[in-house]
Amino acid sequence: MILLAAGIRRLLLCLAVCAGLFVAPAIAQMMPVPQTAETPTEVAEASPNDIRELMRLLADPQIQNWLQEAASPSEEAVANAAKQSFRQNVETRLAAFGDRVQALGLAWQIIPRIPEVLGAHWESQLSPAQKVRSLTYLLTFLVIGFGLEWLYRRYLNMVLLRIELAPKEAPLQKLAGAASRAAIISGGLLVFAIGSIGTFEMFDWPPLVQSVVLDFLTLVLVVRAVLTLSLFVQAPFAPELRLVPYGTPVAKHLHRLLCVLSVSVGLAVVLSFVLARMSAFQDMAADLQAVVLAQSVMLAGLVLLVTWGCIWVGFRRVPRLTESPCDPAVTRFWRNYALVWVGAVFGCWLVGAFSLMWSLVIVGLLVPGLRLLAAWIDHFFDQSTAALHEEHEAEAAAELAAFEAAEAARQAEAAQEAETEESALVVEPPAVPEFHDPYATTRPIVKRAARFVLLIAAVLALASVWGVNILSLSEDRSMAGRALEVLVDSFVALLFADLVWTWAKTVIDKRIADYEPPVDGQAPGPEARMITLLPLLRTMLMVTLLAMVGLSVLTALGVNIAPLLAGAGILGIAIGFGTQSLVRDIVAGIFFLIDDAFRLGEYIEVGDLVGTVESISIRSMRIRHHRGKVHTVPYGELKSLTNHSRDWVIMKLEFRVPFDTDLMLVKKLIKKVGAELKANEHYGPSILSTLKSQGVRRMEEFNMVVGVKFMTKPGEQWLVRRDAYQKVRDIFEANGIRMAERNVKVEIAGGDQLDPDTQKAVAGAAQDAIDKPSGPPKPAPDEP
Amino acid sequence: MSEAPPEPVNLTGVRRGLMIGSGLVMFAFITCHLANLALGLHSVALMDDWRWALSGLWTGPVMRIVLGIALLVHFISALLSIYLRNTLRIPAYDMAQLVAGILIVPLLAPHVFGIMTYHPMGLVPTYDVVLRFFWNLSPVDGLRQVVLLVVVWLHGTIGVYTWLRSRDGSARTIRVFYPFVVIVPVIALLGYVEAGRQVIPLADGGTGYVMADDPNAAGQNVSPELANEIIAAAKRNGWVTGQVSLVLVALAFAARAVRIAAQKNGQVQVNYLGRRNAAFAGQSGLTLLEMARLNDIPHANVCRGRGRCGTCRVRVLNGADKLPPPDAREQKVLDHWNAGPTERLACQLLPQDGYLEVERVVQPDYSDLDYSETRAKGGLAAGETS
Repeated sequence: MILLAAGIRRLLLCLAVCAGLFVAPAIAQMMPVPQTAETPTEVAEASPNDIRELMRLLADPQIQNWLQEAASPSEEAVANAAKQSFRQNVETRLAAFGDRVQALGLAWQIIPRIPEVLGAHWESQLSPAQKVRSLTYLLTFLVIGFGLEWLYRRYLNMVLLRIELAPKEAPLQKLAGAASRAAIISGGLLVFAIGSIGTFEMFDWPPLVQSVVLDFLTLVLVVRAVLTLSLFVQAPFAPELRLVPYGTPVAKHLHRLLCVLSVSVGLAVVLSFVLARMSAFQDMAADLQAVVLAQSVMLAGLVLLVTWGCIWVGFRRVPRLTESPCDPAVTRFWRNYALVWVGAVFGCWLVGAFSLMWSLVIVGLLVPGLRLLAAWIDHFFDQSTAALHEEHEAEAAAELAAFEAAEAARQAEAAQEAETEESALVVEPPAVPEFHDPYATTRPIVKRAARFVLLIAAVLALASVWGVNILSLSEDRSMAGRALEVLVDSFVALLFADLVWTWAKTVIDKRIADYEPPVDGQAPGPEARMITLLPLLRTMLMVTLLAMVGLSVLTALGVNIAPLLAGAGILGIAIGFGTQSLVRDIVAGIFFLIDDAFRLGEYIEVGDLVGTVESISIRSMRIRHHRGKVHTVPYGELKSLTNHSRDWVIMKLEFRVPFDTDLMLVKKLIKKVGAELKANEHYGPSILSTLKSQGVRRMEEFNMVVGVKFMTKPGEQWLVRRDAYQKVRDIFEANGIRMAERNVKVEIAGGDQLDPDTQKAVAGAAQDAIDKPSGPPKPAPDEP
Repeated sequence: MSEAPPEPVNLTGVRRGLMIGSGLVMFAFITCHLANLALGLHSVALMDDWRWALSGLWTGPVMRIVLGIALLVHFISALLSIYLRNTLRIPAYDMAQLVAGILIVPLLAPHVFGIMTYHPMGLVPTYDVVLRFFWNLSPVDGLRQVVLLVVVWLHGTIGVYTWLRSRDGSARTIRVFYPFVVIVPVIALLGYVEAGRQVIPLADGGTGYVMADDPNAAGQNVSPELANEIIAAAKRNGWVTGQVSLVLVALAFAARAVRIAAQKNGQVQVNYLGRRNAAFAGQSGLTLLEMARLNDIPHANVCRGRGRCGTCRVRVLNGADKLPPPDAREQKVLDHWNAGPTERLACQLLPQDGYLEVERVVQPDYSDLDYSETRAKGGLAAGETS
């Protein structure tokens, strides 16, 4: 029965409402067929004989011909129906509405006769003995089903108990626990189903009873499945596994309401089914049809009352049971919303507007569903973060406690050792790292994705309610079909774009928010440039997404975007060729950035150019020479780059001393100077390895070359070198070590007796040797 | 231990012992009876062949009296335990047992009195006759039998299960007991159904099972009027017995209500320490275990508050001075577990008022309990170790 099916649909949906999710197969199964005529959909099952007969008939060529002939006009009729004018359409609908009202009127008159008709019918189908025996069978197979399930549960009892009672903090743990518990419970359900259905098949039932019992068995299974779902989500008896943010009393209350609701709804559905079966067992279905309608109206009315009651009670009790205060206005609003919504759905069902009813159901579910989903995901992430935070706090506290204990021990020791010698050395407590929410970027994405899935599901459901197959929309050339197609396509494109955009935006914003500007005097890190690039990237992404969405909407509208794309492509190629070097510069820049080759303020050497990096832009960088010249270097030009400002610098110095110098003394003196340098309050800390002697590096004609070296942080070496030279010279002088000077020793046999003139002549001759340019190389001219 | 254990305490122990003893006797009978029914899976003839052993022995002159006494004792002690219940918000198993127990007598009486009519009429209650009666003549009675079977088995197994579980080394026994619990009623029911299939066609004049050597072939040896009278009397007796039992149960509940109303209620503030601390205010008159249950505090309790298993032990950390000392039975269980001096059984502990701080000894999920370990009985005095 269509009406019946619709009733069942409604009821099932209420079930789904309670369960808080769609039972997809059930919905698909229960989707309305276009309401044109009332044809019984429930037919007795075909026996093997019937099927054989049918196969024989189908194989007959005559029958095949007839079928083909019969098929073609029906296609035409379908085509005609599609071409119906709007007015005709309205007329058909109105006629259907009138029929429906008439049928309801008839049903209303019949209501008092229902028990009588049904009783007579039931009696005519079954003998008293059969009835009682059927009940015996029923009891037997229920015992077997429940017995097997009990056995299963007994063996898994301990596992289940541990899962339920073990304390869990993180929601993921809870989710895993709840899932394994639900799996165990569902396993029990399965065992029950197998046991009871297996036994059910063993008995010989009267045909009517068999179908009725099967209906009830299905009811039991469905209701239990719904309750298992409720157990999974709200876990009224296992607070450790609860996935929703409310307490045990609320969970228990809601679970009870759900129980009442699902049982009453399921019972109504099954009773309607029973009636349908009865009418299927009888040939003269005319008056039974009316009875069936009357009964389903009554049942639906009862279900409506029960649902209203549940909503009323739920909204009344839950605020009292929760610890957190609820805004009465909000509660009232949602209660009235639910009441009106359920009433409207019932009204639609009553007048036979099934498509409208379904749309109402879907949209009505979607609105609170989206809110609840968002709230639930928030709760989930809040809990995860809270659990991690707690863990972090505990770790930090433990660390601090350990430090304090160590500190106390140290002070006690110090006090014991010397009370006079106050060692006022205060050790800083260990820095507790700040807590970072690891889910900050995941949360909005998950929220969007969940919303996305829900919306898509709603669109699909709506489409199938209205009998539109989204996948074959393009074949439908009617105006409404086109409009719908455009709408659906645009909507999906928009949702996808939204998802991508949310993800990108969250990631970029998080990175920007995490950026800490450099402290004054420190060179900014590579992140600094990324920060300048990110907003640009974000804008580019937005433009791209918008363009893509726009293009897909245009495609959906039927606009041919190929020329557009071609134009854009040609333009793109042209621009690409024109800006080849620009692109190369930008790309090369990104890679230099990734390599972290240079930073702002560093002293670098690029080819012939040296200087401090003064600014970094997208295409080029600017280097300032220490004498003030500014070079602009596009990144594309950089082949290799030398950075003088990384980590450390070694500087080597040389001193020339005469051959008669005491090298041990030199070493000692240099060491002393090194200590002095290191103790300097300005640049001392920058010296990584202070001045030390390397001994004699080489012997020259007139002197020895003593090498010294030191290591500093980049940029400090000049200052240190200056002081090193000065100090070494001073200390050498103080200790009587002379720096070697260029001198020529002229040795002449018997030179003692030379007269002053001859001596002068000899000195003059030696002058040439002194003037020869030789000696240490000059320092590099461009050192600052 | 105090010198003279209070009188009612001993009575409780005796009552529990009587209940278990009488229950076990009846459970054994039921098991045999159901086994007899299960033989119907083969044939009605086999049922009758084994009737003397599986059912007949129990209805012999001696065992009949033993069974009757057991039933009476069990019923009376059950009435007492209803009277002594502190709260009716009890675990599901207890509730099932209670309801099933109340239903048993009204369901059973017609069957017992019905079977007792056969003898005066000179008939033998063979399965052949009885099955034909239940399946063909009076299917409603047959249905009642099935319900009775389920109810009795439910009641009995819950009792035996609880008794078994709180015994030492029960872990292995219980694993065998589980399948037994399910298999017996299932094959009994299937045997009943299968036997019914063999006798049902007879009602419509078809071919079915006919007993080869029927002791009832001669028919009843009394006049039809007398027979009718006997049957009517049996029916009346069955009905009256059922009503009387229900009235007695109702009276027990009423007396319990009066007892509870007469109690003066104090407030107890209880604080449970553990991995999740919990605090609640309870009404005195309940045991600590019942209070914990009412407040949804998970608690290990294998015997569900009968004071036998010792798994609901709590360590009293604060407020022990206001508690009544453990009675002999509780002390026995505590000694059995070598419990420490501050440990008590939550199911026997009746806090009066004030503040109580306790800690569960056995975790609610039994994760720290090795039930299969054997404990030296009386080897260590209480308090020496824990």
